[in-house]
Amino acid sequence: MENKNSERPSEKKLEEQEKILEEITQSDYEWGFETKIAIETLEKGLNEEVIRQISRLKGEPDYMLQFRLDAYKRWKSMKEPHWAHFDYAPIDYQDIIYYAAPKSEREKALDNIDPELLETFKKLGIELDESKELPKVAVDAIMDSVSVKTMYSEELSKQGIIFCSISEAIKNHPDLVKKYLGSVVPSGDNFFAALNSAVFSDGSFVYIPKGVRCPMELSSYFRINAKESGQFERTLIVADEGAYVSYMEGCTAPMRDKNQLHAAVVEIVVLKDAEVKYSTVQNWYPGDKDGKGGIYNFVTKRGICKGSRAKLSWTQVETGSAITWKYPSIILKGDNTVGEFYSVAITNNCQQADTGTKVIHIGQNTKSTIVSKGVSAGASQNSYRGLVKVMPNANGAHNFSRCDSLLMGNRCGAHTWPDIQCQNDNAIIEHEATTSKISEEKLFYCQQRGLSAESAVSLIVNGYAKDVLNQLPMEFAAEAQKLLALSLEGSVG
Amino acid sequence: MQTLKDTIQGWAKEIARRRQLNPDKAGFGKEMQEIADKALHCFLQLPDPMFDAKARLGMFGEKVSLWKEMGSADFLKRQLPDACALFPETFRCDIQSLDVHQVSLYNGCVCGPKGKNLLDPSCDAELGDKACVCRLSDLAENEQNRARLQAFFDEAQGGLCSRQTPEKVKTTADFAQGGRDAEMEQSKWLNRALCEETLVIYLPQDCQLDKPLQIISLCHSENPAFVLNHVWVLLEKGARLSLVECTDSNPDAEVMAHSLTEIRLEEDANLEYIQLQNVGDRCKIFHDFNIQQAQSSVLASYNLTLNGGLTRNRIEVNLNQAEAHADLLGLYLQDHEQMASNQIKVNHLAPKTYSRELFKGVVDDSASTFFKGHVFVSSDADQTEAYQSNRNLLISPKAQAHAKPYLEIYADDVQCNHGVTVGQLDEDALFYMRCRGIPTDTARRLLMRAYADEILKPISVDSLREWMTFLVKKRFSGQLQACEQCVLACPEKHLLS
Amino acid sequence: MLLEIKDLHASINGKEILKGVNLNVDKGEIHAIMGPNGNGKSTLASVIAGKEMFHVDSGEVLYKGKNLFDLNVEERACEGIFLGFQYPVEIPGVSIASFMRAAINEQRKYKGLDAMDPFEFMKYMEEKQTLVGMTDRLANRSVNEGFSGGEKKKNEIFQMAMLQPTLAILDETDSGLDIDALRIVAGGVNKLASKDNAIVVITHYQRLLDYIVPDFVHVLADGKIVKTGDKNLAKELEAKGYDWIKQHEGLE
Repeated sequence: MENKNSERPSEKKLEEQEKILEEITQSDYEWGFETKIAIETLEKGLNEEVIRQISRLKGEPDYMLQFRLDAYKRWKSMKEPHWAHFDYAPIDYQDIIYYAAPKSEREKALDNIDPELLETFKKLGIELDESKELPKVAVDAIMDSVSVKTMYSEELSKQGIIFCSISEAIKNHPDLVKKYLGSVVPSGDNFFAALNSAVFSDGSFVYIPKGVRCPMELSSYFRINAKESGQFERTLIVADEGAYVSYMEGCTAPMRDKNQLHAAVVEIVVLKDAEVKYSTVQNWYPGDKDGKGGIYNFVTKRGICKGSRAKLSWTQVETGSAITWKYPSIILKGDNTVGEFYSVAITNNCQQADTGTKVIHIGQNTKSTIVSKGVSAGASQNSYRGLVKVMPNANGAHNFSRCDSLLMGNRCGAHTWPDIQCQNDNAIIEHEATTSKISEEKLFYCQQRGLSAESAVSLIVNGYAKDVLNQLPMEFAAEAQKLLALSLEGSVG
Repeated sequence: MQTLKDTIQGWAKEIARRRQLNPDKAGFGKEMQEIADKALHCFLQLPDPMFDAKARLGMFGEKVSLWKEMGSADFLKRQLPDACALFPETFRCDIQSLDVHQVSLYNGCVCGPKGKNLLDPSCDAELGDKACVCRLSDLAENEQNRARLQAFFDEAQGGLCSRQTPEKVKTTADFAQGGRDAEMEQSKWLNRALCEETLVIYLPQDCQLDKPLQIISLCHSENPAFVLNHVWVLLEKGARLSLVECTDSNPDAEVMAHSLTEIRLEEDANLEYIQLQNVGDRCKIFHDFNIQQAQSSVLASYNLTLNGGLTRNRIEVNLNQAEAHADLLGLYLQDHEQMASNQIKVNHLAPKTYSRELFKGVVDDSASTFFKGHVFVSSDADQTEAYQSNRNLLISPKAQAHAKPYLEIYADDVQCNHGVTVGQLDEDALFYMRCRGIPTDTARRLLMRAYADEILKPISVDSLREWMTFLVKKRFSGQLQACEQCVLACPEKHLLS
Repeated sequence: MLLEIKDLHASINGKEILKGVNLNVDKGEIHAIMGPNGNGKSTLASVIAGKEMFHVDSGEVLYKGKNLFDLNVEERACEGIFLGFQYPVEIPGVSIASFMRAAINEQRKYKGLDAMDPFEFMKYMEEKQTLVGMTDRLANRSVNEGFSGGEKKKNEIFQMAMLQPTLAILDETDSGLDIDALRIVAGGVNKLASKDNAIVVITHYQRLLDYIVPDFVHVLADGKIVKTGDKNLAKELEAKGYDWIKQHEGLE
């Protein structure tokens, strides 16, 4: 589609601005390098034998194999969902490698890790050397299908905190895993969750015992490296009564021409009086400016506030992926529980994002806040999709939602698909949304004070997203801001 | 066993027979029957699972659906109402102090002398330089008229069984989901196939009536019945009209109705349209509105649902040319186990178009309500303004509200927003009023009326606004059974006896 | 005695706010209740008016010799209790005129009187409007909607004039007023004060008492009336501050 603005000769200025927009929004993906490292992979394709092989390679106990096979059976009877606002070529599930791992064994000692791997994470800004890390953030680094290194595990374990890869947890903490895995996202929950349950390779496991406040930020970093492999990580976080943890997740992938599938599942259980904060900066490879390549990101994230006064907060900054299909959800089951969802989703070029949240109010006096800020540029499509449901017994439930969209240029789309269901006459629900472009006045005002168009836009978008960025842990906020600026500087429309 | 499609086919035959039997309508245009035949053919092609309530639940999860209703076993027990010829030719609704032109539809049939302009029965029905309200069949007899109605016929004929939605309106999630928008088109087939008569309201260029026009649409049946209404409104360039359509029933009627109102506003035309639904608790009303607006045309519509067992309004507004302006307001007052569903799609297809939706409801007892607003802004529709708002008051523990306010936007130079609220009456205001000595019940009623007033206030014709305000007030105080003075409400004045 | 409060204890959400208030108010008197913020002044007013969110734990309030707690909010209003709100509530869509008409007619009904004739009502309303200098424009607007702070308070006094209460409790009526508005509001109150009614003015500052001269000044601190005096007490408070009272009464 031609932008007809540029056809109007009187609007030269606009044309210029469009040019800047184009230049800036097409800046390269900085994290697109590939690590040359020996990897071991399974054959392409998915069948029962592949699942058995994955389980065998990981040395899993039998209960896990059964969990996987059961999920696979469910998956086979399901159809890929197509209700999202997407347009993409069909995914061939037999043309994907379901297991890829760096050859070198996972080692506790830093010296034994392939230096190439360390270098990779260093390039991504992740220091796996505990002696160097400042401020203290415990990282679980995951490359393709396996966890490479989990930091500070020992230090944390002194307080009874378990922070390890899910593979280790399956072996070492079977009781916790059996009790909670699949308890929030059942293996047959949806097509992609079922797929994940069948083939998930690795991921992080966190357990914070009763009354413990986790002394540092926990973090996992996901990196897809292998060609033609999918990534299916699984994260499980359990905060026992009165516990607190803040968890961050980051991710990148090399630039490849072929789309790669990422189907993760995150489950969070928050018990009485506990609080979990989960932050994501999602920066998978988005594909090139013509929409070639990029990650297909189909993720199921859900948490349950099980006991009274439990609190769960999702914060996400979504800038990457060719396709993002992601609805971090909250079940407010206990009385006086609190759920929060803060999201910034930026799409550019040919990216498509359909993201939002689901909040189910079950307990009494439950409270939820949803703030979603979408920015679309280029030829991208950006949707907010949300469900707020108040059940008949959820007296005193209160929801506030605010979903704003910002459009840059005339080739993109910004959409809002909320669904509000109230079955209680004592509930208050407020939903607001706006869609607009960056105000010319604001731009002019900034420029009149001497800012370039690029920095003015960056400034305004950062201000627009501020409510969300403020929710991020300090360590993440700077990265997120940089990302926003990078993808949007100068996008004047 | 008699299936749904057998039943529909049988009804279509009966309707065709009635059309030919009635000597006054001997000249019924060939085109009209052709359209009906073709529509029936299209309808019969629809896949059977569409009418399967269980299957539909999975597909759409919608509580209120025409197809679901038709798929139920109860539907097959319904009958077409008796032939229209039985009904007296004139019927009046005596609202005091309401000075309007009137035309009546009785179970979907137009009341009044055949071949005549019902605005001025001394004249023949024809399209020309005078306003005309008449049957479409009467118009279709005349060659000249037919030329002017060409657009209507073209659309009805050519586009009937192919999707006519504009090319750009097709990337929505709804379409991916199985084309819920197609339902509008498909229900048109049903209406065309089974609706015996179409009421045409035509205003030529720059025409303006001296007073509002009231359509009284009566659903009246002692037995479970299926009624079809079709109204076609054409306002030519610069024409202006204030139109009230009242849908009434006898209080214990068990009528299910499908109504189709098609409105075409040409350049600078201005229509104020008030739809008042006040039918019995056992009535189910499915009303589809299709509105096409040309440059700078203005529509202000008011959908007032005062009573009805099940009311489903689906409004599709196409703002086809620049600066078209649509103001869509709605008020639904639900109690008992009533259900109200308002589904509004506004397509902004040209620059500088404006739309506003404001739907407010009060939901009591076990009533439930559904609102779906969908604003679509095509990439050509720069400088569009679209506002969408749905507000619900839940005043009883079992009342339910469900809202889906959608925005789908492909142009960047736009101002769009939407808002939904679900809540209760303001406790502070209630306390404040009680502190001044006003009892709780009165205070609640006052607040509810003030709440409803926002919808009624913009009605431009004073007498209409006052009348609506009066009806709403009565509804809140529980005194509204049927429209006052309406013949259907009082058996002793029964016209049929 | 018009109003007798005996050892009143009241709480909100389990938190005790009033901790044994004693107060007597009789007709023809003007009382001022002063005290630091958050010590229970507004709670006392709300409890007398009947706000349900406050829970009366113990104690007794007699109004015209009868148990006040036997009456619900609107019955108290009809018995002549008027609360001037600190934060008057906005009621969109309800005009002041129709609001007042509903209130007056309900109160008349309570007393066994017929509803006021609409014409008579309009005349009555005009008369009271002039008392507080309220314009027609304002009277036709929705109750308090979009009013400035001063307009809202004027509206409260106007309603007091319309309803002619026996006991008027004015909760921080002076807050947010400039000096001109303060004069108008106080002037209205003075005109309305008579030997047949009583007025209780709740205020944080002495300023208002330059215009409305009280017969009694009470200091409410930590949920109790800790000191009672005449108008000079207010002046003393102004000069020495509330800390003085606290120290004086051994509350710190």
